[in-house]
Amino acid sequence: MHGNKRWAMVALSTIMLTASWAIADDDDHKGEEHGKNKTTENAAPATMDPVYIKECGACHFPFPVGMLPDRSWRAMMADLPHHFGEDATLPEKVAAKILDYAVANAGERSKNRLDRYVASSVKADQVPLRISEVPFFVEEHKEAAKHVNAKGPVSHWSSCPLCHTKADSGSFEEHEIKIPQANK
Amino acid sequence: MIKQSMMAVLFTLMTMMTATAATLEEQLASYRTQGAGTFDAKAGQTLWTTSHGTDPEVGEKICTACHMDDPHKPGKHRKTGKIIEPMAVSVNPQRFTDPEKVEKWFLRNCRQVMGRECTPQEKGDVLSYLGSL
Ligand code: HEC
Ligand code: HEC
Ligand code: HEC
Repeated sequence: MHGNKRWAMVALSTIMLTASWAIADDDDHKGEEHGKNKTTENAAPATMDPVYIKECGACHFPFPVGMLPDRSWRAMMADLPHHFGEDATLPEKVAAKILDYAVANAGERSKNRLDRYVASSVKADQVPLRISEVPFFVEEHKEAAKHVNAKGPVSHWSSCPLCHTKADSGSFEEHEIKIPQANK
Repeated sequence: MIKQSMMAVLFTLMTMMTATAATLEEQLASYRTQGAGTFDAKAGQTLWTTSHGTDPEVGEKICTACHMDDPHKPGKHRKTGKIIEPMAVSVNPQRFTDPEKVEKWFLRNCRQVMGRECTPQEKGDVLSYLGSL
C-alpha cells in the first residue's frame, strides 16, 4: 500500500471508530459482576478468519481480536518487524487484510460478552499490545497466575488453550476451564 | 470501498498465483535464476548451526534455538512454546512446498538471527541441507 492510500485508510477507520464508539459504549458493563452477568448482547464469538489463523497462529495461539480495542490492533500491525522482540513481517497485502479483520471484530464491535469485558477494561489513554496485561485479564487470572511459570506445563499466558479448553473456537467461558497439573 | 474491493481482488489473485505447490527442485531453480551457483548442503548446515551471539530480549541468535538440534524432530518456539513441525524433508514432506511461505520465513528468521537477509545462495544451501537429511 502506498503512503496516501494508507492514510486514507487510517482516516476512514478513525471515522468508523468514532462512530462505533458511541454504540459500543452502550453495551460495555464495566462495573458489572462479570461471571454471572447475562446481557442480551452475548453472541458466540465471531468465527476466526482463516488467514488470521494461518498467519497470526504460526508462533502462538491466534488470540481473539475482540479482546483488544481496535487502536491496539492498528499499533500492532504497524510494527510487525519488531513484534515482542520477534520479526513477524508479512507481505503488505496480507497484513492489510488481517488489520481489516481485526478492526472489524475488535472489542468495540464484538458481540461477545467476554470479549467486551476484556477490551472495555482498557483505559481510554492506553494502547496495550498484550491481552495478558489488560486490567480485566489480570484481575481474572490472579488465582491462576501461580500455574504460569517456566518449569510447569503452562510456561506462558499466550498458551490460552492449555487452560481454556474451547479457546480454539474463541470461547473462554468459566465452565470450560481446566488447568493442567504439573505432576502428570 | 473501491480500494477495499481492489484489495480483495488483488489478494485473491495472489493466492491463486501461489496455490500451485512447488517442489524443492523448483525452489532451488528459482534461486539459481536469482544468481546463485551450485548449492552446498555442508554450507547450509554451517549456516543452520552458527551462533550469532545473544540478544538480551530473545536469547541466542541461532536457527536451532527454535528448530532444535535435530531437524528430524519437532522444534519448539523458544518464546511461546509452540511446537514447530520437523524441518527435514524426509520426515516432513510438506516442507518448502509453498514458495511464499518459504520466503516469508527466510526474511523473518535471517533478519532475526543474522541481522540481515539471506542471499539466494544461502537459502539454496539451507534447503539443500534440510532436503538431504
Ligand atoms: C514470528 C513469530 C510470531 C508471529 C508470526 C506472530 N507473533 Fe504475536 N507474538 C510473538 C511472540 C514471541 C510474542 C510474545 C509471547 C510472550 O511473551 O508470551 C507474541 C505476542 C503477541 C500478543 C500478546 C500476547 C499476550 O501476552 O497477551 C499478541 C496480541 C500477538 N502476539 C498478536 C499477533 C498477531 C495479531 C499476529 C499476526 C499479525 C502475530 N501475533 C504473529 C510471536 C509472533
Ligand atoms: C494457567 C491457566 C490459564 C491460562 C494460560 C489462561 N487463563 Fe484465562 N482463566 C483461567 C482461570 C482459572 C480463569 C477463571 C478465573 C475465575 O473465574 O476465578 C480464567 C478466566 C478467563 C476469562 C474470564 C472468564 C469468565 O467467564 O469470567 C477470560 C476472558 C480469559 N480467562 C481469557 C484468557 C485468554 C485470552 C488467555 C490467553 C491470552 C488466557 N485466559 C489464559 C486460567 C487461564
Ligand atoms: C524464534 C524462533 C525461530 C528461529 C530462531 C528460526 N526460525 Fe525458522 N521458523 C520458525 C517458525 C515458527 C516457523 C514456521 C513454523 C512451521 O512452518 O511449522 C519457521 C519456518 C521456517 C521456514 C519455512 C519452512 C517451510 O515449510 O516453508 C524456513 C525456511 C526457516 N524457518 C528457516 C530458518 C532459518 C534459516 C533460521 C536461522 C537463520 C531460522 N529459521 C530460525 C521459527 C524460528
